[in-house]
Amino acid sequence: VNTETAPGERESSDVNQYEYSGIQERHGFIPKWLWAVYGAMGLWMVYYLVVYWTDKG
Amino acid sequence: VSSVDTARERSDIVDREVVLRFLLSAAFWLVFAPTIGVILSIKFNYFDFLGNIPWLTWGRLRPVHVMGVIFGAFTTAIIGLTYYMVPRLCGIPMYKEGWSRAILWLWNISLTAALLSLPLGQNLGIEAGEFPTWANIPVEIIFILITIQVLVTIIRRKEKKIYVTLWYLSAAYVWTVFNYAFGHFLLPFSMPGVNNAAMHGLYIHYVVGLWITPAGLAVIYYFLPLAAQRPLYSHKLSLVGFWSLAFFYPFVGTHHYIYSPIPYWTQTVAIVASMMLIIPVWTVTQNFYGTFVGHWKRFQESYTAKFLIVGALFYFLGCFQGSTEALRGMQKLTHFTDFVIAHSHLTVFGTFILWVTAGMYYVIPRLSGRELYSKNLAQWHYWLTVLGFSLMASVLTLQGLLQGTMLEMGADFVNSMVAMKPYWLIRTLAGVTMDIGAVLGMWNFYQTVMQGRKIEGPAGSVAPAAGRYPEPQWT
Repeated sequence: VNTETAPGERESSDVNQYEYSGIQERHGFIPKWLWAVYGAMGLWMVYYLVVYWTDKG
Repeated sequence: VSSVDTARERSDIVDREVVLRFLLSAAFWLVFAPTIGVILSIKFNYFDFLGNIPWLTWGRLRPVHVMGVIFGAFTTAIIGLTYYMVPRLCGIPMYKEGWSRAILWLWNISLTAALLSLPLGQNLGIEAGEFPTWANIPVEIIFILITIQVLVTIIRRKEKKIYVTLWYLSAAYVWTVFNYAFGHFLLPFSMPGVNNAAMHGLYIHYVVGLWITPAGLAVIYYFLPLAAQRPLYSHKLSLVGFWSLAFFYPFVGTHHYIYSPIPYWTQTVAIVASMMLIIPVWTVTQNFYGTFVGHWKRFQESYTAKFLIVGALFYFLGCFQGSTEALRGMQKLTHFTDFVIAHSHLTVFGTFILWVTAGMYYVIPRLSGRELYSKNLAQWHYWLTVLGFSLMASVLTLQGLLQGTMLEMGADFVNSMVAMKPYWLIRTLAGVTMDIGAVLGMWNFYQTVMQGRKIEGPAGSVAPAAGRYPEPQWT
């Protein structure tokens, strides 16, 4: 298994090996753009619930 | 299967015979159920096609297609892959392996009888929950038995950590034990009126979101790092993806009934939950593509990788379509149009059928100890599937938007149907293309087990990480 980091990927030594399946996984991280998506979706959720909780006709 | 050396390696923890028999059963259902879909699509072009035979009418055959894809094609493959993935992730054989052999026969017999009963007019009347009660009893028992097998195997595991595949699989089985009972034993016999419709919305989306989705994700999380020959990109993203799915999906179902008499606030909650599914979908998509970035060579070399990655693309597109489709403005435009059919096919076929197919490309050569029978057949399978399905998804999406716009502009409903005729013809041609691809692919699997060139090394030895045994090519 190739554990070299890809271009733009953070260096990480915390690779976990699953012995019987041969699968490896990095502990990894959450990219900044996904944090932005989480934040935007959270704000939108609050807005939509407040505005559209009842039918205003 | 009979040509396979079924004497298992002592060190092997996977029951090869059961897995291969399940996957070859799935290969049959993967051809059968889509073929019924093609026959149904022809009825759009020629309204009288097979219309004089009661058991081949639209109303009788559509449930065969829907139930055949969900429980025949997808679920049969998932059960087979469960019996492969769980022991390998736990480091021990499946709990009560003898049950698996009984389940193999009980499952296929029940499924065949249930699918035959639908054209004969037996139907519970719950969409995606249409099997008659006598067939639902063995199916429910099977789900309970497999759930026990999975959970006990996980509890007794030798592997210290529980990989993300096991989270999704155990959750999918537990959720489905309850949801299957809910949809088949409670819903058809209680809660009349609009409450039943609301609960049906939950049931049908639990089939999609709490069975097909987590079971499918379990498959790609298992096979993607192996196919890429790379570590999974991020355990943290796996956590976010799993828990956000588990949190938001239970509220999604009522979005089937926007603008209905169901309380407004419940519709709003369903819309919000549908949109919030962007979080798990984009998260796991990042995890999948992050695993592959910089190592696209494996995409050329491995049919497992090809089907997984293309399926992940359709997953991203189909789920975004589904989330936005729940918004009131989009519902107004697309409800009762083929846009909805585009969405269901993008997710169920474009994503999850492709992912289990990828799993079959990985497992069948390894467990049979044989090389893939024909690279050419695999190539045809891949391209006919991808091109046929891309055409089908595009044309259904386009015609849905077109039909919705016509109706919004006040067009007569019949005229909107007439305008769809050329698109329906293209849809049928696309379906035939996909079906030919499926026949070639499944024949390739069957021939691999029967006549594939033997791989040097112990049959069924699967040690890709250790690299002790030669790996089959193109998988």
